[in-house]
Amino acid sequence: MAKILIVEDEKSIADLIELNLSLTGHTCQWAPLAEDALKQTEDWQPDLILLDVMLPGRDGFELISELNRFDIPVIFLTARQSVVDKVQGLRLGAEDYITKPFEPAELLARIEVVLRRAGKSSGKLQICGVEINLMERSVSRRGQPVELTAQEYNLMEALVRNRNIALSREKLLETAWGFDFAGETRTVDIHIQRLRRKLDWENCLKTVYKYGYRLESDG
Amino acid sequence: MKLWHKILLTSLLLYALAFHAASVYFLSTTHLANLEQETARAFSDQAIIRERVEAGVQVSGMPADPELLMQRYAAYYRYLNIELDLYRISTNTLYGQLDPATLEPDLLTFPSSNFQDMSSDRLVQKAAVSRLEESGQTVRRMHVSSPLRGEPDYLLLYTRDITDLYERRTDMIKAFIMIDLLTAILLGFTAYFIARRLTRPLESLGQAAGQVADGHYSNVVPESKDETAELVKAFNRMSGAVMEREMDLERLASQRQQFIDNLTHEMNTPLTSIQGYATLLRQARLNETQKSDAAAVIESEARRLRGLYDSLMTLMLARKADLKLEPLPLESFFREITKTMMISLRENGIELKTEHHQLFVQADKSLLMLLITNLVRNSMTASETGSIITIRAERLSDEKTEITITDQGCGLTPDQLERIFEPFYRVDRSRSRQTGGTGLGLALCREIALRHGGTLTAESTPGKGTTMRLLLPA
Repeated sequence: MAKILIVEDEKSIADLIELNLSLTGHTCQWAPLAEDALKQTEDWQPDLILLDVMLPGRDGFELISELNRFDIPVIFLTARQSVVDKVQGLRLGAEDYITKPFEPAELLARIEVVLRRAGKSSGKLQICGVEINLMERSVSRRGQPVELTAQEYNLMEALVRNRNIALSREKLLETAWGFDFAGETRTVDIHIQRLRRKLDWENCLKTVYKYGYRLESDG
Repeated sequence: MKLWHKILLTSLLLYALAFHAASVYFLSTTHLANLEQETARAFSDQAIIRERVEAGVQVSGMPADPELLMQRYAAYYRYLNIELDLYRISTNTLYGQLDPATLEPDLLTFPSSNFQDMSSDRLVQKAAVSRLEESGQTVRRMHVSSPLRGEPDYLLLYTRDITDLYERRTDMIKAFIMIDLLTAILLGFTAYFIARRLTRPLESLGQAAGQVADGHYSNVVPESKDETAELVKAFNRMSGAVMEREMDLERLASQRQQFIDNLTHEMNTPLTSIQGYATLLRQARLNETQKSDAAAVIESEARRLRGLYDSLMTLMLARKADLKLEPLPLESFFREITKTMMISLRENGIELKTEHHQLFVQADKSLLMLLITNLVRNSMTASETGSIITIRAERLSDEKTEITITDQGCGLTPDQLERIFEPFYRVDRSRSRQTGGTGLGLALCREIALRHGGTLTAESTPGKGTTMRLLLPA
């Protein structure tokens, strides 16, 4: 998975982001200041930089122009919510702009999109004995291809992208079926059953009581 | 109507009235005097001529045809531009060249009672001016008549052309009109320039006032040396004051905005942590250590929010609360402070010295306590084990008492010194986070000092230590 540099002066928030990202298998480093960020970018060559705008000393808007020479995608992660800031951030060359507080699932999804756009994500995963190629949308188990319907595949992709994080039935419905699908959450349960059976995920795909489902994987 | 219009019109009008009244008076008196002189001359001329005629008549008697008599005299006098005629009252006949219709009837009427006086030397003469249009020109003549002594039925008419006199008057009127016009034009120009000059400061004041209304305060109206100088000076002072006040308001507004921006950031960070870790606890597969760490972060971030809330409340109270000013003996007050801070002082291995000099200050005890303990706590954070913090009171004058808090700590750079009173500014961000500092302490201290009518300032040398100076009105 990807190497991500977190530039954030608040340790508790940096820890939070790191925890979230490590759950899906990303490796993280923390840079509390602009100077650290430049040095670590040079030494470590991360795949992606999460950049806070409000930094002591040089702020994120100043820093990004210096980071641009490394040709590494940058996502702003900031408490500033004004549209002006957002536009300025994107204009300076950021790939995306996420405001605090953020949803873990949303953060992961946006990171995934940016990584894929930058070609930094191979899209190949091995989870609970199942090989998944997100680029080809193909799934196989012990070398044998597994046939999934479009809905089943979308559901599986949502769970895989947010592995180790519980997703509510509503969230799954929204992600796999689309925003305007006003379906029953029962539909989700039925498709989950099918996924468990087809992929032999009885143990990995956990039901989270009164909430939804979580795909548990150490990979 | 503009002011300079008024000045111009009024002066022109006044001039016209005065000049015309004067010239009419002058012209008419001159003319009347001339006429009188002319009349007097005509009277005397006529009397002389008449005496001659009378003498002639006495010698040779009245000829049968009076026409002959007149021709004799008239031919001679015509050379002197005088015309003579004889008028016979009883027959109403005129011997000579005049047309009786052009004469005033009164000139030819002498009541018979007057005849009685003819024997005496007194002359009875009548004068009149006649006006005749002759080939397009107006001819004026002076006529004088009187009866002949001894021949009261005959009047001797003396006539002389005085058109000259009237022509002179006409010329004079023409000359006056010319002078009038020239002077009016000259006066008009002069009055125009003077009026413009007088009203120019007013005009520039008006423009400047318009600019002030549009928000440009920097244009200063140039001062002149006349009566408008005071007005201009006052105006410039006013626009300056307005500018200053607006700048003050802007500064205040931007300070408020800065405060709100900072507050938003200060609140958003712990909230993001709390929300994020709570979500993680609920949704993610965490091991026991991770769970306990997440709960610890939530707790400490919540405590940070609580600290922020407490600081804001104290700040608000310090701003709003009624001050209970009372004479405060510094001796017992300093002792109380030492007691309150005892534990943390001992923990940090720092000694607190106090010098009170038996002084009193007028202060709200609880607020002053808050102020000084805050400053001592700051000093403690900056100091190393074994160093000394000194609180010293000193009477500077009858009105001022100074309390200084001096430490031997790490001190502040000029940059930091400049900013320490800003709300939410922290010298050491990460460290103050651990100690739960909100960055509002010094802002609070300064607020309390201001509420007491005092000031709070800081001096510092990096590496040597910092001195906070609280000046209180005694």
